[in-house]
Amino acid sequence: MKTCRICRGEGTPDQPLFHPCKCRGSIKYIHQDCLQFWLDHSKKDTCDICNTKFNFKVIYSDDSISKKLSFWLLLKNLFSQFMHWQNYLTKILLFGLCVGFYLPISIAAIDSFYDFLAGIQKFKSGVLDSILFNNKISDDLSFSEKLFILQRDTIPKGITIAIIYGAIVLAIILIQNNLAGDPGVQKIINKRIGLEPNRQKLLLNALIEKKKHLILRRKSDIFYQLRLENELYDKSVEEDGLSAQKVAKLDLQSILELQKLLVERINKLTPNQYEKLKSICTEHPETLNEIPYDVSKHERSFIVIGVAYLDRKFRLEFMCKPPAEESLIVTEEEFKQFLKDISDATSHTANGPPNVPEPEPAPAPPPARGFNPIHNNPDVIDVDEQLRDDAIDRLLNVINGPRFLDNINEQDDRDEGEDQRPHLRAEDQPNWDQFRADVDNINDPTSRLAAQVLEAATGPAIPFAEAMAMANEDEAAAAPAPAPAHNANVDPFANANRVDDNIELPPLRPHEREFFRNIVNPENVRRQPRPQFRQPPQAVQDPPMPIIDEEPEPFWNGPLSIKLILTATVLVKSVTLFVLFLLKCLPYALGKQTIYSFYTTLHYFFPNMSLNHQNTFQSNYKPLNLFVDFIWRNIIDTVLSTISNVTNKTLSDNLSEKISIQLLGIGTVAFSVYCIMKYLELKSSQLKPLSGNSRSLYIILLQMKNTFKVFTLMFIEWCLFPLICGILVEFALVPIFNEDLYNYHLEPRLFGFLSVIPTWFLGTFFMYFFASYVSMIRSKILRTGVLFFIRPSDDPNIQLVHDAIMRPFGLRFSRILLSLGVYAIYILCEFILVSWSIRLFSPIAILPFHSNFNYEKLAYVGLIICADFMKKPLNIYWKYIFVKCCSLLRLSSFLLNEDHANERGKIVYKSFFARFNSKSPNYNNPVAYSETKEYFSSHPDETCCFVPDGNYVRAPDDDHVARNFVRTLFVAVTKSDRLLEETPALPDDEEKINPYGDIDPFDVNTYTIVYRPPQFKPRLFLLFACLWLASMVFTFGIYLSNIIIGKTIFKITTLESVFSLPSEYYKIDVYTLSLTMLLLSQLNFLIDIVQRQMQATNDSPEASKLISMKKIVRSMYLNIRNTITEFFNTFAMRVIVRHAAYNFTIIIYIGLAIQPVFNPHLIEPIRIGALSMIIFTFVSLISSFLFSNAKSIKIFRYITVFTIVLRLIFITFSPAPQFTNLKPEFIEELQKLNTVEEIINLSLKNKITPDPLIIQSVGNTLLPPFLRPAIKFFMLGEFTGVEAWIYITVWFIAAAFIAVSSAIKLWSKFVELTKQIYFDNMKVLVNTEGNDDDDDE
Amino acid sequence: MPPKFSTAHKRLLRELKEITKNPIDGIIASPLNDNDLFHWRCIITGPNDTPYEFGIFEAILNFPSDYPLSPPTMKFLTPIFHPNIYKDGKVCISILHSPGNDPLNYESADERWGPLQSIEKILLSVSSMIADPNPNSPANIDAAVLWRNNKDKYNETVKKLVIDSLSL
Repeated sequence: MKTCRICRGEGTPDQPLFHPCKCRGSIKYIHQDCLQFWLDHSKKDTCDICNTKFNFKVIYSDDSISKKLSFWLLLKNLFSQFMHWQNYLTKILLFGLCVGFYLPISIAAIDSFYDFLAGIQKFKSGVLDSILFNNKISDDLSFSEKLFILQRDTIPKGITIAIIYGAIVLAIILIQNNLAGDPGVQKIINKRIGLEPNRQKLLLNALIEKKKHLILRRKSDIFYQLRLENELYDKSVEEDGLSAQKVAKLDLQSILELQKLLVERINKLTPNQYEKLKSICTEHPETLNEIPYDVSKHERSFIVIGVAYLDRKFRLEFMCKPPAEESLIVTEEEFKQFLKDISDATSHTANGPPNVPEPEPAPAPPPARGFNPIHNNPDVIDVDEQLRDDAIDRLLNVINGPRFLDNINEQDDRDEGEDQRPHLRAEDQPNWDQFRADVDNINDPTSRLAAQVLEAATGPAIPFAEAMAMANEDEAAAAPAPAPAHNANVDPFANANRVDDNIELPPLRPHEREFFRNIVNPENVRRQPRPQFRQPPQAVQDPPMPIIDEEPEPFWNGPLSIKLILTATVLVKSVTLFVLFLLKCLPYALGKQTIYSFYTTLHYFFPNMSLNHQNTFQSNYKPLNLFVDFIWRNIIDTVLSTISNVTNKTLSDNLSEKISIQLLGIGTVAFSVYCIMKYLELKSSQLKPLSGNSRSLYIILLQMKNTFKVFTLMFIEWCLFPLICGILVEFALVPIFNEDLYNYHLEPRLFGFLSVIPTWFLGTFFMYFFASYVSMIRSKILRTGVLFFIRPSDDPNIQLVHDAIMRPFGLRFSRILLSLGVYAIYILCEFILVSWSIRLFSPIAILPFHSNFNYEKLAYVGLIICADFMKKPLNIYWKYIFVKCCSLLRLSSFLLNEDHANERGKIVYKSFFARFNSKSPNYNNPVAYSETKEYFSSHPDETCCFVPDGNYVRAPDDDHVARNFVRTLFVAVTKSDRLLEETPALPDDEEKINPYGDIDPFDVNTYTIVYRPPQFKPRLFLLFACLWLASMVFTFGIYLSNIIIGKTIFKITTLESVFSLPSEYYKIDVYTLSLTMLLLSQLNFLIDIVQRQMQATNDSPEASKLISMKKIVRSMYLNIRNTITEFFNTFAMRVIVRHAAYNFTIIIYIGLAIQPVFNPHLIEPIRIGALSMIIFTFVSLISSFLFSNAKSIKIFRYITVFTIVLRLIFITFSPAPQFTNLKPEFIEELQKLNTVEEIINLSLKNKITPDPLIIQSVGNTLLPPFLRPAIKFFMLGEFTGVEAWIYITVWFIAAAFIAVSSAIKLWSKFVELTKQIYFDNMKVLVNTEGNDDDDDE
Repeated sequence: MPPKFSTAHKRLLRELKEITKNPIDGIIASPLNDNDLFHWRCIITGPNDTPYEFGIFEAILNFPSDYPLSPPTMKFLTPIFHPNIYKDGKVCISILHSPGNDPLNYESADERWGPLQSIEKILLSVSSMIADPNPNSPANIDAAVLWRNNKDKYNETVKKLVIDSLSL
């Protein structure tokens, strides 16, 4: 039966069923109304299942089908459509103007306003003009000229400023964001200025409790000991006059008696004896058993008894007295140690794995054992709770000492098995009770204490004191008669908490509040469980929708409203005002003031000081001169001129001067922040933490300091470091690419500040390559753990921000410097030295690369891809080199983990000549070096023997080895891991390296045993030298094969002349090199084929047919294809190809469209045209962003084509280019120029519009030589040429065709729409064809 | 444009007819009362060979007035410990989510609600979800964690709750 797939109803005559998509079966049919509802609801126009688009046919009613569409109706519709869209268009236009025009101008204006404020500029013309144009125009310019300057200078300036400061602010926000969640900050604060006062108090109380407990424990120990001793004394009687009973009887009376006796005895002693006794008693009680025998027996027994007596007396006093006040005073060191123990114990569980942030603050304070946890929901398994219990157990260990838990158990035993213990005496009983009470006292609160400590030490800012107070109250209310001991225990904490009542506590979080409420009112909880289950079902009520006032104010509401634009503008401007003030104006003023005050002070002491110095260095060696001049010009001159400008109050608009003064200002701020922080730190200690306002001040300053530190480190690491590398690499590239050695710059050249960007990219690129080389060696060649000091780049444990704040700045900085040094030396040895020496000293001119046009450098991309092909052969080559070098230097075991017996020592020959004709020695029969002579005399037929030397060492066997652990490694051991010598004591600089007790995320603590030959370090250096040599050999090999393979192929195929290469074989060029590398990379594969073939031939002679030229070529082709596919399948390439390519098209189009806007020289002749194009471009640009699907991009392309055509028309019909009137000198001069910039400058000087020249020049440089004849066709050159006209006509016709066709389409659509609006009609679904009569089950 | 009320009514009536004609094994569903087709009560028995076996789970289906354009909501009245069922009994399953309100794209559009789905399919899906939880979009974190880390304890908890819910 046919049913509608939506309403399940059948078709009726007025509601027939349609089958508009390709679906079959029970979902084939649908009502038109139902479908319409669904399409309106889902905002789709395709089927969910088969994705067919639903087609509707418009059917007009009978009377309207005959009517004609009048012009009036069309116009009416046009107007209504326009009214419908104009609002939107205006908004877009306004938004575009705001973003592209108004905001950059205002930002630039704010910037120059601050310049005026700082005194760099002085007002010349009107204030507005001065600010807008930065004093760069004269007064008599017309409005359009001003507009032109505005878009040429001010807007780019504004955008640059927005980008730079935006990047800085973004970086700061990101760092702040990262820091906010970092547990390390709290650690720093705790370490520097002490814990937060209330937490500190809690912890201090805990420590005092701990101390009390320790005293109690000591008492209990002593108690048992004394009792035991008493019993012993009962059994035996001392030979001396003192009765054991008396000694043991521990009441006051006997003590006094004994004292008297002792005093008598002591009075009888000689001074000598007295001293001895005293020293033994006080200093070395443990030496009692070793009392020297020169002491007479009498004295000896006296000493024994005396010491025993004194000892017991002290112990007794200790037992009887309450703990002295002094013993409970906590020293700073003790407190620090305590904190450290706690953090050690808790960091493992409470913080989770170090790099994973705590998933959620604990739902509530821990239900410690002291007060009953409230468990109402049995099916909720609280994982946190378990963790917490764990942590509490650990803490108990810390607080009570490791034996505490045993103690509890022991005590339980004691309760049951008291009979087994020594019999108690009557007089001891009170003590025992006291002791019991004390221990009971201690047991119960400790767990609570631990919970508290845990909370205070690690937890989030949960107001524990409050919680405890509430809990206590609750307990008191709920249980009216709690055990007195229990109550007594609560008191100290309650008191401690009450002391803290005046401290402001952070507000409760909602779930915490809930929890506490539950504690206070247990009924709450009891009533609560599963309140919603079992309720009678009700209709689901949608949450009340917020009522939006939809007032008919289209400009003020809706997306992209004027309100939004205005708000955004005001926001951006005020943010700019603030940020620039903070980052530019303030530091500038401060820096100025600092320089000024320093200079005046210096000037006071050295009145003859002068700031005018000239570079007088002259040497015969040109590069050195250039270098000194470079340094002088760029650094010393800047510094000197800055100082003189500041002191003379003639500040200049020079960028480097401004930046250096700003930096100095920031430095001043940093220094004063540092001073304040130091002062605050000195004022506080662990026992006296900083509190109140000064604490919050410190925290704010610390936040600033941390941000600054992280920012500086990251700036150095990510900007300066690559930049320096880039400069070095650039220096190495000079002799490779440049004809003129002493006047070189990298293409493309950007202006001012941005000119460093290409260099930076070069450096980053180089570092990337170096890192991939290292990781190749690490993963494919070396034993794991050799390069433990270079962290793997893909390490998930890297926490940049965290590390930056937790380690001292100097340490991090020195690490960066060290790696910079390594890079610098590497570049120097491997590249600079080689390239310069080849260029300078090579007898034949190998370098520079042959190049005949600028943009040939694009071909180097191909070279890099080919280098990627070389990966496999490179791997094999380096593996081979490493194995060879290591076996030569006997480092195989250490570096490659291949233990060869023959490497474990050296071979000693019988005589010098035996070296040449002896077999390998017997490695199983090692001989000591001193015994070689004997050996040779006893074995006359042996010419050489094996003398083992060196030793085994422990070495890390994993790259993730813990830092501290590494310091214990590299000690000499035997093969079976027995230490050969005492391990040297480690330098105790943990405090210096890791002042805040940060946990090392690397926690591998395993090692392996490897052989280390003697003279290890020289061997390593030799290894580096070998590697260097190997790389040179490799390079030379490539050069040779370039000559043999690439050059020859080019010569034979006459490609040489196509690329206009030189005929000399020794000259390098990029094309042959790429080809050579491509072919070389296949070499490995070829060898593989041949080897397999050989094997096959050996196995069966018939298979020899397998090898054929065709097959080899085919498999090579396949291999190349695979390699290329592999290359394009790497992640980066995938992203570029799949996503970026699409966006790239847009960017190119936008670039083309924008070009006339931002390249003033191209549009100068016709300003109105330029203005219209600006608007046009912005509209198209924004619309392309707004509707970023394929369709709109297509439209956008049309628009860009139009723009270009318009531009060409403007250029063509503009009156400026008159080549016929050109002076011959100008043309001559023009021919010498290379860059676009120079052409523009020259033509401006001659008052000529430079466009055609530029197109010519770009065409000349962009295309390879064999395509250059084609430029003639494309070139617009002199506009008298027929080709140009043909070209323009063709282009115009193409564009016109596109335009007309799309206009016609648009028009017909519009007509259709008008018809639908004004005439009666209905839409009818169109059935898909060809399935009317099938399935009807 | 809200659809005609009768569409939802008609469709629900049809579905009721179908479901009474060809009942599904282990599942019973019918409107709460005869006057109101928009609230259904259904009973799902726990799938065999799962810890939910022998369990009888009662649930309420609430249909919106623009059904079948928007999906119904489902809520268990019987307490049930399951990774994809909230503690208050609300069911989190892709078939009950209208396309487009899933910002994270956990579920492909095919699995979502559309007018092609039906009550029968929903109930079957829920039944199979009970047997085979989807840990990617947990509604009950505790259950999901337990299910992933400690199957035995999970099964035990579920069984205990099932027996409790039967009030034996």
